[in-house]
Amino acid sequence: MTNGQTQSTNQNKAKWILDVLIFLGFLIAMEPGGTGLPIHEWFTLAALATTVIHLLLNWDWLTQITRRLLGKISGRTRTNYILNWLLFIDGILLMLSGILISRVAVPALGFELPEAFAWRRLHDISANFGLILLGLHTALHWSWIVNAFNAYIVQAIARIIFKKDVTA
Amino acid sequence: MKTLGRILIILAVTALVTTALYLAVDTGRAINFSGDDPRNASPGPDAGDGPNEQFRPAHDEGRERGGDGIWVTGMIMGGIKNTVIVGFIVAILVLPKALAKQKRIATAKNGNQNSA
Repeated sequence: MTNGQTQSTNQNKAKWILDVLIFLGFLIAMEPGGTGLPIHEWFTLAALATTVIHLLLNWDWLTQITRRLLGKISGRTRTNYILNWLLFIDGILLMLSGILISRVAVPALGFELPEAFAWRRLHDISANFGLILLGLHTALHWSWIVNAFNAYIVQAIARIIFKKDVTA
Repeated sequence: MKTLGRILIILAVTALVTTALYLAVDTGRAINFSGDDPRNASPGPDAGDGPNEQFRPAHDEGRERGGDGIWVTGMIMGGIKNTVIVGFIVAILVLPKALAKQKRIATAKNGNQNSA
């Protein structure tokens, strides 16, 4: 394996692990009744950093498609690109409305914001819409997720078992 | 340096979208609720003293009534529910494609066997 291939494999692995963590994080954040408001709010504020890393890891794809959007690209890629933008906007709306109705994290930072029904409702709507978008996003990348799972989890476990068999 | 520039671009786009969304929602709210801002409404008989009592989310009430076990059960059930929703969407989109692919492979295999 060349250096370039190793770097690409490592980056792919990092992408996959980060995406799984974001997915699980989103599912946990969707249940503030279970985690409690402090965890829900601080956890989702920290999600901004993971989103930036996710975008950085996919930067090449993002810039490539942005340049070629009006040119000749497959329908699937175009759908994926639009879906990603929707997910990004929905994520921002979710975070913005969350900050504006925050009762733990924002007051702890020394800010007091008046609450409003509109933001509360928008927070719920954008969370539900986000769940649907997450499902569509997962479906579009399903084969990559399964292949990565096989490569990084199944094969890794098989290698460990096989190695144990050889040493035994 | 390149990464820092990219982070700045991401943050700038985020700030732009945030501002646009805030202005859009606030303008819409000003039009819809002109004169009827719920914050100005007189509190009902159940409303508490604090400013947040009126807007208390439904999930907080459950926390006060239930014990630790109920929270954990609620979180697990909620997690399962969300996973099922995502799984359902994935299944709807992925399964028909996977079945069609399998069918195509089987047809191609049969065609090869017949020609042989």
